[in-house]
Amino acid sequence: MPLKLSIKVDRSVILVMCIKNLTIISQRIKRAIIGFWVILFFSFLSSFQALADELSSFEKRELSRLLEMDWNELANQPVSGVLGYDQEHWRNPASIAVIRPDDVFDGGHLQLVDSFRGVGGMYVTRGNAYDDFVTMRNFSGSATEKFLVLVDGREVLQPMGGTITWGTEEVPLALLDRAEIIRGPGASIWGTNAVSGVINVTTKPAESTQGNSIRLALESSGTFLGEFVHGGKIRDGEYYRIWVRDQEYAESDLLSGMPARDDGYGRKVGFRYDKELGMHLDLTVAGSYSTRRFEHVLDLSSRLLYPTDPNSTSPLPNSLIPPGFMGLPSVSAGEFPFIPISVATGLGLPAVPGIGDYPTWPNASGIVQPSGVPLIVNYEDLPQDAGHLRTRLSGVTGNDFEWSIDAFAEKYETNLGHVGHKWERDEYNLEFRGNRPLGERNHLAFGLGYRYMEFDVTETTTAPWRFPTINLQTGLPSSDIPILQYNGPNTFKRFSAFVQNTLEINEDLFISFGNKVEEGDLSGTTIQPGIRASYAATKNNLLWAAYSRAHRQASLVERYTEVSYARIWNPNPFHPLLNPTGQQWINQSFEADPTLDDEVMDAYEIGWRSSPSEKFLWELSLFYYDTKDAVFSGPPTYEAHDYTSVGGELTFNYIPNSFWKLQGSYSYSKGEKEGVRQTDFPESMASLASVIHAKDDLKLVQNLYFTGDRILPSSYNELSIGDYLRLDLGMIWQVGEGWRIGLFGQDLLDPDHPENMYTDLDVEPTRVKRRFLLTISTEF
Amino acid sequence: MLLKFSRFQNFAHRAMQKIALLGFAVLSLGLVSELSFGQPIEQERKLARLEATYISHLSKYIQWDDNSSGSSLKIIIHGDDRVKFKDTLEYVMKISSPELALEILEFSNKQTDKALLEINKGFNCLILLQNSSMNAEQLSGMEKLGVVIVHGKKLFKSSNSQIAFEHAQNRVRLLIDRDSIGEKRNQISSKLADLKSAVKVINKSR
Repeated sequence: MPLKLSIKVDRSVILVMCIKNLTIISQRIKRAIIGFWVILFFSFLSSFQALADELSSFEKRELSRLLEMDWNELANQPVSGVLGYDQEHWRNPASIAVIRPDDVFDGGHLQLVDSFRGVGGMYVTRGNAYDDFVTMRNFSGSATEKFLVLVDGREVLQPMGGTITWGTEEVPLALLDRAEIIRGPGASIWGTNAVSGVINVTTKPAESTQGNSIRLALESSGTFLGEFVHGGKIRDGEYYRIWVRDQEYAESDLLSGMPARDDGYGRKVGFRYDKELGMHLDLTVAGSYSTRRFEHVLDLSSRLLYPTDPNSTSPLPNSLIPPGFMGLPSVSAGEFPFIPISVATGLGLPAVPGIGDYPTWPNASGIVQPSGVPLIVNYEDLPQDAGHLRTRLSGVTGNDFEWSIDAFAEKYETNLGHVGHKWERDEYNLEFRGNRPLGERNHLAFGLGYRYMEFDVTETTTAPWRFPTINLQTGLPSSDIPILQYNGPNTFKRFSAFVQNTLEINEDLFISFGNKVEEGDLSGTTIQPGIRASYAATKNNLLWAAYSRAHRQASLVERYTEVSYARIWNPNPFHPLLNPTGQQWINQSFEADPTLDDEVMDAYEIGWRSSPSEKFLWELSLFYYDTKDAVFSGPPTYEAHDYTSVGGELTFNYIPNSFWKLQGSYSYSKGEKEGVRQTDFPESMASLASVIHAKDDLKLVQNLYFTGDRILPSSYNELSIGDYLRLDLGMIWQVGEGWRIGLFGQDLLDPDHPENMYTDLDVEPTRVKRRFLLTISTEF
Repeated sequence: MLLKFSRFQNFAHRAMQKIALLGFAVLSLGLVSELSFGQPIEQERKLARLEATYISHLSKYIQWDDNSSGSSLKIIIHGDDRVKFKDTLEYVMKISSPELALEILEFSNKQTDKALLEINKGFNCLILLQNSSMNAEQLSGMEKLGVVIVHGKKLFKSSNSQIAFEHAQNRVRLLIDRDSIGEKRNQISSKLADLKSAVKVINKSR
């Protein structure tokens, strides 16, 4: 006993020391960032010397990259970056990774999002066959993506749930020009929700996809992918393309061994029309329609509850009561006030209602969970249909003023059948952006935008829940209490404007500063400033630093829904005055918080990009995020907390010889909610990719991903996920003109492992299994 | 209904105030910018890298005259090179055509006389930088010695140069004189005419 006590004391001392150390580290990082700015300032005063005459390794690398491009690519080659106008990747004062089509094909990735696994600081996981989750830099390890994704300038973050339906936004690989992943806020240009990062997906112009291309992929699991693109020329300066993409998903198994019933399909068609209206005036009209059909499972095991008497002389065995079960507080240590009705029946407790009285309630699956609770699940359809149309008019005037006007119209319709939540969103966006050099030192970018959204939300009470239950809001029994009830407004408007200037103080030192102002129904008026600087300390070393303030809107679900997550049986006899709910079910719900403020993040970043030779480039990025009112969801409430995230990424790109390319990253990050260390994001991650050109027509590819351990948070079934190492090996043959055949083995070190799930409602993730993949692509 | 309308009016009013303020700031900066010319040095460097890559690609579409020594190429650059264009071009040409014996000579505007002497000795390619002081008159007849590349549509049209670079922000396009395609000396391939996004063929004789 004394020994145990001494261990406890030691641990608490260690904990206190750790917290103190972490605070000191955070303060040091803050000081380092301030120091960096001071250095920049003095550099500004003292360093007006030009760069050395010789080309730097950065420039040589860039030239090597340009030389690999054909004429069309050269004419459209820049990278958007963070300054509001196109610039070269390596000169950006931000942590940026660029994914190009070869990265996706060579990695054996069926979807673009899979290729983000190799990007330092990004945590990509699979929930089920059709759902992927991406989070960045230890800020929200749950299902909510707290960064912005744009596909050809169109925001694709779903405002209802604050998530991205990655599968709906996929395009054929032949269309992809690049995906730029900017780690860190970019709110001074992109505005609200560009919090922990921005992903900019750009597709090729129609002129670059002339002819036909096909890509087919077949996975050993049975998942199939087919893509077809056809592009044609109408006349000089006028091109079109049409395309179709079909992904048929094989069914996964849930961790318990139950079928996930996530097999289904995601089909998409699209088009693009480009017309050169003048020498520097272009018109683009594009659109797509996507339809997806799946089922989704909802765990019902622990949603009908029976109260136990905490003062009973024979309390339930503790083994039946998982810690933190249902997120409800224990009455006292080791005791719990509610147990699943199935357990109560098994224990023969008094006045337990017979499940046979509720014919729509699913039967137990026959599987008993480790907690001892029999598994009961319900499957419902999950259809998603989405279509959008976009038009862009862009040009460059004689005085180098580059401008664009974008108009987007989008319709999105989904039915989350498992929770009976159906909604339609109609959205219209109009955006103007411009930029131009001002004299020999400035480059100004600015823009205006207007967004209008309209929602039509319908709730359905799913079959298992259609039985009389006391609604605590009305005090009356009802058989129509949906799991998710939306109580918010149906229309939202937002005006936005930004201005950003990049000042070249001298050849080595650039400072970019700007601000975005938004006025919207959800957030009111927001001001999101940012300042970035880059300094070429030597010709092969670039230092950069940034401060940004960014806002994230709480999702509509987080602000305006009522979630009925369980029902509790009142076993006591009915009495009209003393016990009016006796022998009846009582609904348990929690309401979202319409007063939730925007999450406001102050982000400090520094980076060092170095290219000691043209064959080797490495980069170190450090960040410190300080967020007020970060929203974390899960019963019994949506709560806002202060959150800090600190860490960094080390990445490298090395070409040892003409036939071998290596690329790798290591990232470390730590998140603290109200000073308490969070465990929902792996603190350490690493990746190593190797591409060997064994012969002119044969490439050998190896990808290794390490993901540290984490705890998958859940109010129902918290799950510890150990660290895992994923090894993918592949061979790619270039067969004749335009044919490529790839054979890949993925997750070779591990027969299966869980990765992620929707932590609010799901209870178990699916198993991500070892698999083999054959891909064929051709152009003709 | 009235209340909603009034709220919307307030909302729109506040939004418009802010947008107007921002617009004013942008406009002011725009007005200031009217007084300034040129472009940031980084922009120029970016363009230089693109131009050098274009020339490297272009060199494969021209059947160079065998002026003296087998597979050698003599390139003369004229103008004040503040963006390391010569180094950049040298680097890309060495990578893309390592087998080629390359001679790149560079002359600043102050060295125009020397440049003209060298030009008259013969060359494969003469590149005038954007700030080159040479005019159409000085360029007259040089197209018979080799391929002349200038900057901007104005000089391109007023001179006998075969090729010009045209910039729009950081995008580069080549202008090619239709008469020069298929010429006997330093023959420019007609395939270039198909590269619409990067190349525009212009009929200067009209």
